[in-house]
This record gives sequence, C-alpha cells and structure tokens, in this order.
Amino acid sequence: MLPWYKRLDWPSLVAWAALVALGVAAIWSSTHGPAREFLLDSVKDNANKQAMWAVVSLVVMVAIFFFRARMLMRLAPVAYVACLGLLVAALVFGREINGAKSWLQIGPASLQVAELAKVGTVLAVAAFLSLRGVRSVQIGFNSGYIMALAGFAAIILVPTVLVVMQNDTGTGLVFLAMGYFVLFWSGLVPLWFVGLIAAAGVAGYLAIVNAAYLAIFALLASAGYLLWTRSKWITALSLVATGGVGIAARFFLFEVLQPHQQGRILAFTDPEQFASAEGYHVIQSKAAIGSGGLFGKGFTNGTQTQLAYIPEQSTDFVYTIIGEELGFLGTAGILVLFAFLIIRLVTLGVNAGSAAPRLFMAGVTGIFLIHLLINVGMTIGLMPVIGIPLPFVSYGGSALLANSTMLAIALTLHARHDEFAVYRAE
Amino acid sequence: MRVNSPASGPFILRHSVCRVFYAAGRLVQTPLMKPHLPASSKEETRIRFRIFTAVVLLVLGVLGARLAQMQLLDRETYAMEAEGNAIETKIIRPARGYLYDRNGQLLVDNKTTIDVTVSARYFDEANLPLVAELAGVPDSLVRAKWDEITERSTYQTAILLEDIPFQAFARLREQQYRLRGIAFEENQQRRYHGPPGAAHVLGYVKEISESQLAVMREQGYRLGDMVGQTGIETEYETVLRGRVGREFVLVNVHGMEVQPYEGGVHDVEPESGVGLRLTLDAPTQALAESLFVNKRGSAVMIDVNDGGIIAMASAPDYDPTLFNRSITQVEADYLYNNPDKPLLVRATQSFQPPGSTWKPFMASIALQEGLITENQTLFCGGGYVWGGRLYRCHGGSHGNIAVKEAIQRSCNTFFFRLMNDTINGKRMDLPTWQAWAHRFGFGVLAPIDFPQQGPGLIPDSAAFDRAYPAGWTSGYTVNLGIGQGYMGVSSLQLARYTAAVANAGTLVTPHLVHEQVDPATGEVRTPSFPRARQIPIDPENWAIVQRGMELVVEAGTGRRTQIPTVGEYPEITLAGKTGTAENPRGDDHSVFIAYAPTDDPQVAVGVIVENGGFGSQAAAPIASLMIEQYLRGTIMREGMVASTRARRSGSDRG
Repeated sequence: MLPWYKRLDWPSLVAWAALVALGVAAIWSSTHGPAREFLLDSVKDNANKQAMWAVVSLVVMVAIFFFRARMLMRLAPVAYVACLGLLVAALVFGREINGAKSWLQIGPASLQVAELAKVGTVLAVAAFLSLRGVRSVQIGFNSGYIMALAGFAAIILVPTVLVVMQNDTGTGLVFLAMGYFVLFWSGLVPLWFVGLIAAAGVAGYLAIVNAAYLAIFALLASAGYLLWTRSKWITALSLVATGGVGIAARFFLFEVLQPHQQGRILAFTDPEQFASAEGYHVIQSKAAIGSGGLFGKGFTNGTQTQLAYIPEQSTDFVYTIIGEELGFLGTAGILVLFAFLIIRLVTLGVNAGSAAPRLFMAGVTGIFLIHLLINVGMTIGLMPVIGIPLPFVSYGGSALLANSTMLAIALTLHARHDEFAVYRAE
Repeated sequence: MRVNSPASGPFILRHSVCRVFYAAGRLVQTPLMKPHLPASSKEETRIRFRIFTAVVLLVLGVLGARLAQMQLLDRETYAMEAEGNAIETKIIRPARGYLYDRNGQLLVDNKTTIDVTVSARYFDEANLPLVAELAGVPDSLVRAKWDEITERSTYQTAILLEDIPFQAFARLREQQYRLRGIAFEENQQRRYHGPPGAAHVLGYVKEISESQLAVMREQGYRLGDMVGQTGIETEYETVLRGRVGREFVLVNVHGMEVQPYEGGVHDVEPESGVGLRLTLDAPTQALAESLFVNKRGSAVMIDVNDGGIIAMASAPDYDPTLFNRSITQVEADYLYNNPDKPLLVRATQSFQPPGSTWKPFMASIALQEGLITENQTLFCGGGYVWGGRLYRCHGGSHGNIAVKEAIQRSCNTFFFRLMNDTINGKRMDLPTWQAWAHRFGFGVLAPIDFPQQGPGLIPDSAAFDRAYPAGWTSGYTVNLGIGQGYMGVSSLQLARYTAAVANAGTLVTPHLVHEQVDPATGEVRTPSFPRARQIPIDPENWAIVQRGMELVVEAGTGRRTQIPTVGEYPEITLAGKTGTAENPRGDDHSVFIAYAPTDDPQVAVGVIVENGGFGSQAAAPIASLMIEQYLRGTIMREGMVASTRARRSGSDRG
C-alpha cells in the first residue's frame, strides 16, 4: 500500500495552480493597465491580495493533507455547526457589501461566510449520507427512508435559508444545486426522479428564454420519459415538471415580479432592450469576450478591460479579462481545466470505493460545475447576471480559501481512502 | 374496474384515494425503481458516472460552443462594439492659412485657444453648475449653450465654452474625472495684426452654421468648425482651411482619454492651410482706411499692369474679431441694424453715378466711333437745351471747345452733345453706349477672386422701361453722357477703367491674391486669373484722353491732387478726373479717378465719398495721398492728411 502523499492526486493540484495563476494574472491585468489611475484605491492591490490568499489557501491545503480521512469525516458535524454559527453571526454582526449582508470581519480578514459555509455543508451532507444507518434504508414508505430524506433536506436547507436571508440568492442557489448533485450520486431517490428535477430546472430556464422552446422541451422530455420508463404516470409527472413548472415560472416572472426584478432576470435574453440598466453589464461583457477572438488582444491590451467598461470585473466578471486578452484559447483553456478537474475528482471519488469520498466529491464537483455554468454563462449572455464567482479564478479570498479547502479535503479523502476500509466490506 | 384490495373501507376511499395510493405503489415497482441500497452496486455507480460525465461535457460543450460562436465567428461584431466604446476619433483642426500683404507683412495669423467640449450623451446635466463654477462663468450662460447643443444633437461632441482662460482650464482639468463627457479642445482663432484692418477684403471666419453644415458636411466639416464667411476667407476657404487631421484615442468608461489607439499608427497629421500673399500694400490700405474715418464710401487702387488690387477700402467697416465668439446685442445692432451697413463692401457692392469721371470714357468712345476728332470743337453756350429743358454747364460758357479741353474743364455741354447730337453724321445710340460701357467693365461682374460684388447699372432701353413705366425720352439718356442720372458704378470699376485708360486699352483682371505659400515646404504658387481683355480703341485716341486727364491735374479741376517735389522725392505726375455725382436724396457724392505716374503708369485709383460734395474736395485728396503713399512709400503732405481726415460724409436721406 502506497503512503498517502504518493497517492495524492498531483494533476488535480496542477489544475488548481493553473486556475489560481490565471486568476491572479487576470486580476493583475485589470488593475495594472492604463485604467489603474482611475480605480479605487481599495481595488488597486487586488492582485497582490489574491496572491496572498492563494498562499494562505496552499498552507491550509497542506495542513488538511495531514488529517486522517475518517477524522475529517468525524469533524463534519463540528464544521457544519461552526459554519451555521458563522452564517448566523454574519446576519447579526455582518457588514453589507453590494446589498448582501454576508461579510464578517475576523481580525484583519474580511470573510464572506457563505463561501466558507459550503465546506461545512458538503462535508456534513457527505458524512450524513454515508452513515451506515442512512445507507441501509429501503426506498419506500418507511420511517427510515423519510428520516434520511428529511435529514438530508435539513442539512442543505438550513444554510440555504440563512444565505438567502443574507440577500445572497446566487449562493443559495449553489447550495441547492450542490444538494441536487449529492442526491444524484447518493441513490437516495430513483434516477427518474433526479432526472425530473433536472428537467424542471431546464424548463424554468427555458421559461425565461423563450416560450416556444419551453413547449418543445416539455414535449420532448415527456416523450423521452415515456420511451424510457414506459409509465404513463411518470410521463404525466414529467409533463407537470416541465410544462407545469415552465408555465408557473412564466406566470411568476411576468405577472408577479416587479418590472425591475423582471429586468434583472430577462436582461441577458435581450441586453439591448435593457441597455441602460441591467443589460449594460451583459453588453459590455459580451463585447469584451467576443472581441477577444482566437488569440485575444494580448495581456494588458484589452480595451474593455483596461478602460474599465466592465463593472465588478476582477470578481464576478474575471472571465471577461481572460476572454478579451487571451481570447478563445484562454476561455476554452479555463473550460478544459475545469472539465479536467471535475471529471478527475468524480473519478477519484468513484475509485475511492466508499460512500463518503464519493459523496463529498459529488458535492464539491456539483459546486464547481454550477459556479462554472452560471458564472461563464452570465458573461456570455446565456444566464441571468447572478453574482457568483468563478472558482479559483475570481478575486475573493474567502471563496478561494473555501474552494481550495474543499479540493484538499477531496484529495485527502481519495489519497487516504484505505482508511475507510471498514465500510468496504459490504 | 377491478379493485383487488383492500376491499374494506368506505366506498369513496376504495374508489379514489386508494387507487391513487396503489398507483403510486406500482410506480415504485418499475424495474428502475426496484428498492435497493443507495448506490451500493458498482453498476449503479458506473451508470451515474457516465451520466454525470455526459452532463459535465454537455454543459461545457454548450459554453464552449457559445464562446466559439462569439470569439471565432462573430468576433468582428463584438470588436466593433468594443472599439465603439473605447476608440474616440479626435479631429485635429489644422492651422488656417496666414494672410500677408504684398511685401510679406503679416496681416492675419491664428492664436490657440482652449474650448470646453461636451459629449451630451455621457454628460450628466446635474453637473452644469459645477462646470460653470469651475469655468468662472454664469450658470445661465452654460445652461443656454447646453440647451442649444442638446437641441441639435446629443450624439456629437460640441463646444460648450469657448476660449476659456488658462486658470479655468486648470481647474476644470483637475475635476475632469467627476465630469464625464467633458473634454477639452485646442482651437485656433483668427488673430488680426492691423492696421490695416482690411476687414472687407479679408472677410471674417465664424463657426459653421446649421445651414452651411447641411451643405458642407460632405467636405468633412463638423459642428464647431470655423468657416470663412466673407471676403478672401470664403473665396479661398478650400486652400486656407488645410487638411483636417485625425487622432484615435482610447477613452475609458468615464470618457477620459487614456492613451493613443495602437500607438497612434492610424493617426492622420493635420496639414496647415496654405498662406496667401495678397496684392494689398499694407501701408496704402491703412492710409486709405484712416482717410475714410467718419465717411461713407470706398477707394480702390489697382496695379495698372497686372490688375493686382493694392488697396481696397470700404467705410464704415467692422472688427472681424467680433466673429471669433458669440456677438453681443450692441455689436449685432452695429453690424446688422445700422443704416450705414458696415458689412457692405462698398468698393464692389455700392454703386453711384460716376459724375464727370465718366467723361474720359465718353471721349474715348466718341473718338473711336468717329463722332469727333482730336481738334474738332463743339460749341458750349453755357448749357445744352433738349426737349425744352436746359442742361447747365458749370463755369459759364466754354465757347468752341475740343475734347482735351472739354475733359480738362469738365464741359458738360460737350459731352451732352456727344451723347445726344448727330455729329459728323453719326449719333451715339443707347445700345452702342451700353456695349462700350460693358467693354470697359461697367455694368458687368468683374472676374475677381472676391465673392461679394455686384454689376452696377448701365441701363439699356429695357432697363429704362422698367425704371420709368410711365415712359421716358432721350431727355433721360442725355444725362448718361456726363455720368449722371440712372446709372451706377463702383469704385473698383472706376479704378479698373482708369487703369485701362492709363495702359491704353488693357482691361486688367482685378485680383487680391498674389501668391499662395505652402507653410510646410515654402513652395510658392502663383494663381492664374483670366487674361486681361483689350478694349478696341486706337492708341492715338487713348493718348488724347490721357492728355486730357493730365490737364485736369495740371490746370483743371484736379489741381489739388498734384504731388510736388519734396526734398529727395521727385514730383509725381498724375492724370485724373474729378466727378460730382448728383444725389437727388441728399448731398452729392464726391468721385475721383486718377493714375500715376503719367509717363509710366503704375497705379490707378477710383474713389467715391458718399455725400462728400465736389469731387475735388473729398475724393481727390484721398486718391492723391494714396498714390503718394504707394509710390513714395511715405506721406510728405501731413496737412492734407489731417484736412482729409477731418471731412465727414454729409447727409443722405436715402
């Protein structure tokens, strides 16, 4: 048996380093070009601060590698409660930035606790679902199963509600998505049901984009369910989950929401129509990325970036810097790195052979995937502008630290998976 | 429908709730849903791994496809959008061409001023008071200009404040980051180095008007450009303007210039406008202007040999610097609501009867037509009777008088007869007279490089019909023989005609530009003008008329204009003719024509002083002094200058 450090997955760490390096470089570009003199003083040092946070994250990661895998899992409840404590503390004592009350000042560091809370929540949900008692429940109408589902839902929903109460709906969405991916991997619910949730999600998205697409998708998805399950009941359910959810979403969007709220959601579908307000961000962002072409305009040479046409560029819109200055090679490069990292992590999780690593990987990769989809999607006009960062790349110490910690835990669980041998018997 | 179990319970439960319940139970029993431990089998995990990998690749594939579409296929569109954001084209206005006199003395150049420009679509109107405060101008003024700009176009950058002092510029520049849409523009204003002002000759430049812009936009003119409006400035606008330069700069989201676009490789340098060396002689022009103070009228001195205009003064005149900025109400009243019409170029646009200065013309054509010969006399009994009316001669009866003496003594009777009598079997009819007048350049536009002029009035019978619908007789045309009545000439036409007499028949082409000077290379280009025309009159006839005009100055009505020997300066011999244009509405107009020196004519002058009285009194000294100034380069008769300046134009009810 190889010692843990020889089984540590170095390729994943290389991907991590590449993403962090790209991020620091992009932030440096946006703060050290000709635009610098017009930037706020608080923004000018972002590249240095991010590099410092990268070092801090690396130290934390190395420290985590020395933990025993089962110790990490045993710490899960503690971490979870600590995270909930931080979320509550932020609600009570927190500072409000950009309308979200999710910042907590601890010593010199200003922490975005919602980001940190992901770590504890993923750890907790993985630990809970890998409990022997939970894993042995039968699907059906029995108290064990219902308790398992309720426990799972509670672990996800409590931090989600707290985050939404902080007015950070985007991150709340990430918690739900994370729970969804864990649910998918856990086998706690049938696949067809997991598929229905996904179909409902897609239907909700299409409801925003185009009613005709929604109708086509609802019919296709239901036809697919009919062919797959041969069950009229499931097919009927899929019609409800797609068409019904879609219609409900449209009704909510156009009849319930105020025009300015509609604007925020609809802007990406037709940015010109909302150009003076919500659409401005999308137009500028797309202009930056699109104008980058294949090779980009060159490092520190992007006009959109250097002339500060894109608000919040080094945080949520960091992808535009890469798109404009490094071109398609840069943007595709980021996608490839994430594809590699995500698939690599789930492979490691599957290969670890036991539930805890696999479910933890499920949560972590779910978080990365949903961040990637929403963040990149909003910069290229495929998603509403939901303010969540691109993992490892966007400026933000808390997010970098949290994501790096999750990665380190995942790698440790894999490298030390033999410590879970006791579970492997079954 | 069969219901297996449970068979007990209320009917309603059996037949509805329970069926749903059991249906749900059957769902759970489909093969995919068979009860099993969560994710325990390797097979289940493998399926999930495949699904998850497919989802990841699908999500990333969609994102990647979208990126490829944007960055590879539609790059141009987005690039244009990004460039539209970031690249601002700055127009660099070239330096307008300088104007010099014939000796290279600078008359007009430019001075650099700083204007504040505003891009209305970026500018926040709420910042107007701040701009006004920093610039040190009243709020209302800035607001008025702002309203004017936004009314025209909110998409074009326009000038908000003109010619701000440097301190104001410094204050605004410091606060520019707060004032999105505000920028600065260096501009050039005309700077005049008079005297001479020569306002009418040079013309003025003014910001392009909307109606001009509509026509001139295709030539690259933009809002805020200065355009020649009158005179040389407009006649030579295309060469004076130069070529507009372009600078491409990157502007940030606040509208501030950050750096040149791509290192400035696309920039186009402006090319300065071509300088013009005029034919004007600055000292002579200045003298003429000074002599016309408090008078209405004009004087033109023309080069007898090439037609170059040495001086062209019109009074009253105006200050062309007024047009560098918005004019005040007082200034507008002076310029536009003034009976003296200071903007009127009297030298080319105001027409008076020539009076007796017409007599050399009449003599020339009568000699050529064969009505008279050099020594043939006509009888003057102190007047001419025609149609029951007596047309008086001045100075009593001249007796039998020949042409030279008739010019010298300005005998009206002699010229009435030339116009009206049948002499030697010939009679001057109106069409012949008119044709000759046209050949002398009267009643037609001159081929001059100057935009404002009129033809004057040399009537034919149709013109008389129009003017006198009740009917007219040859009694009306008799007066045309002595340059009175229904006719009008300008001082330019008089000078040109006098030059033709002096050089024996060459009707020169008057012009104001001597050379064009490229400011960058120093290359000199002489513009070409239409060729001079020859008036078909025999040299011996010219000689007779010339002698007559010499006698006017030697011993006739023009004696006051003699320029005697003074110290080192030898005498300058003049030939001239006085004229007094009768003015039924007010005081008569004083007219004088002259050329000099008589032995080798260099210059010819035409002077009209409106309501100036006798020709010998107001107009003649002006001509004499101008000739002295030009040929001697100085004035030795200061007393004459003072007395001439002291005269004023009389009254004119018209």
